[in-house]
Amino acid sequence: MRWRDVALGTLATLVLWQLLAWAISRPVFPPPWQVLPLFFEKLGGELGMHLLISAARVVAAILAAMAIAVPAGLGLGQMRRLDRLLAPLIYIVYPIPKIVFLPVILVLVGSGDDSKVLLVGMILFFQMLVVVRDQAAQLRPEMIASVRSMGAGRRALFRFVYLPACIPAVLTALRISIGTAIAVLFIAETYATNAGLGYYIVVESWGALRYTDMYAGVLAMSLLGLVLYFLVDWLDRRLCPWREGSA
Amino acid sequence: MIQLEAITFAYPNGTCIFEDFSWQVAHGEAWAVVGPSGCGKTTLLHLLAGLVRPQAGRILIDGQVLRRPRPRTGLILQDYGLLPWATLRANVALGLDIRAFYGPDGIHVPKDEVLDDKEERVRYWMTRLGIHHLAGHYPHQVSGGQRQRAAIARTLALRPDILLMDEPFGALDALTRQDLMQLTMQLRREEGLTTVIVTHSIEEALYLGEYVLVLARPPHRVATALPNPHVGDAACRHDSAFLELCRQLRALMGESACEVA
Repeated sequence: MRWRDVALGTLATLVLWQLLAWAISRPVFPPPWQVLPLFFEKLGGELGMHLLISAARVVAAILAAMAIAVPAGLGLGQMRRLDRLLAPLIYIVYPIPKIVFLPVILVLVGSGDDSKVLLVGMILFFQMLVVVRDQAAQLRPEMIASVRSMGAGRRALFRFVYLPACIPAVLTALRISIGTAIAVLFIAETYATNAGLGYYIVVESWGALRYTDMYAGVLAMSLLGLVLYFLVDWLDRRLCPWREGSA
Repeated sequence: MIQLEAITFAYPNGTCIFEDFSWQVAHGEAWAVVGPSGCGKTTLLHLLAGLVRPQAGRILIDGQVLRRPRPRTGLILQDYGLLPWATLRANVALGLDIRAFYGPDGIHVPKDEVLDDKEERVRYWMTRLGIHHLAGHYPHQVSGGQRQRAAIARTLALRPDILLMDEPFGALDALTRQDLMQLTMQLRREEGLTTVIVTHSIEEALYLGEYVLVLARPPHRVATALPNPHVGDAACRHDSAFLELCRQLRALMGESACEVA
């Protein structure tokens, strides 16, 4: 994505939004010229705080998922027998919408930040696990043999082969799952909490019939997704320069 | 320098490749190993490289029993040996980076290894192999011959005394192949290397080996080796003595070897 494309996309969204607002012309769908000033005004205050809290939860979930999924995926990718044993289990749990675990999670870890991080982390975990595993399984045995022949033991193989090989897989998994992660975080934040964009949009604004505020919250949510996508793209360019043009 | 003492090696699926097999390579010799695909040539190299161990018998290198990859043995594979995410420069430096990672521990790295001149060694070998101008390129951006040059530079930067090559020129076009074979022979003379080069081409074997080890159908019990007076001589390909040697090798490899020219 280039900045110019983002600017054009934003402009197109605003135009479409304005047209729709004219067509609907009810308070439940306010036009952008009402929402935008409020958005920028509140971003410095209450809304900004909720945005930061949601962002922190997503980032924590990403880091937690990565910390477990990367080693597990590498292990499964290299140990075929273990993978054959666990693959059915993974494929059974993978398609379950993780949001159904929210009640269990709330009971087990309480209603604090941990529950949100755990829920979003679970979604990211499975995406990463599968992509990293497939990436590790694709590493050519010839390449590993030739690195081992240069004296590399387990630690050096991890440092010089497995780790760099799975960075693009992790970034791909992130790119795929950020959207879902934010959507699920939104739902999780409407239960048993008093902070985060989900809470701001549903409880504080929608519940109080403050529709303009609500759409300011929706904007903040889009902003969160956009920033995360840009972050992943930037990391991809920094960490995987050999993928230039192919990613 | 390399001694195989009555080794037996079979794959987990039961296919026996070597049975009570003995073979010796003296210091500084150039050996070519020739045989049809699936005859266990690559297995032999993996054994010599210490990547796999025989179930019986032992492999000695300089009198030491080989138990794991030996730091002074270099291994070059046909392709896929380079890291696709690293530039050619980083690939050439990889072996040295691994050595710096462990330090001179005597297990992964020779005890007497000094890495002060790492950059210099990388630059020297990239220049020597003629790929210095490609330092910032990634493997997929350069030709097969250039990739193979990078693999050779990477291995020689580690100052090996044994060089093992598995079909190193198989994927290259004829001109590049001749070029690289010549360079390999020149480098082995300059560096005083003991070389074992695996190939399925008799012609290549007769260019690269002072001795040719013939592997026919496994399991192999006896090392069938022929001395080759034509080593390093590309001009003899139509001599009757050369053609006779080719015929002899073909016969030794057995009927299954009809694919080779």
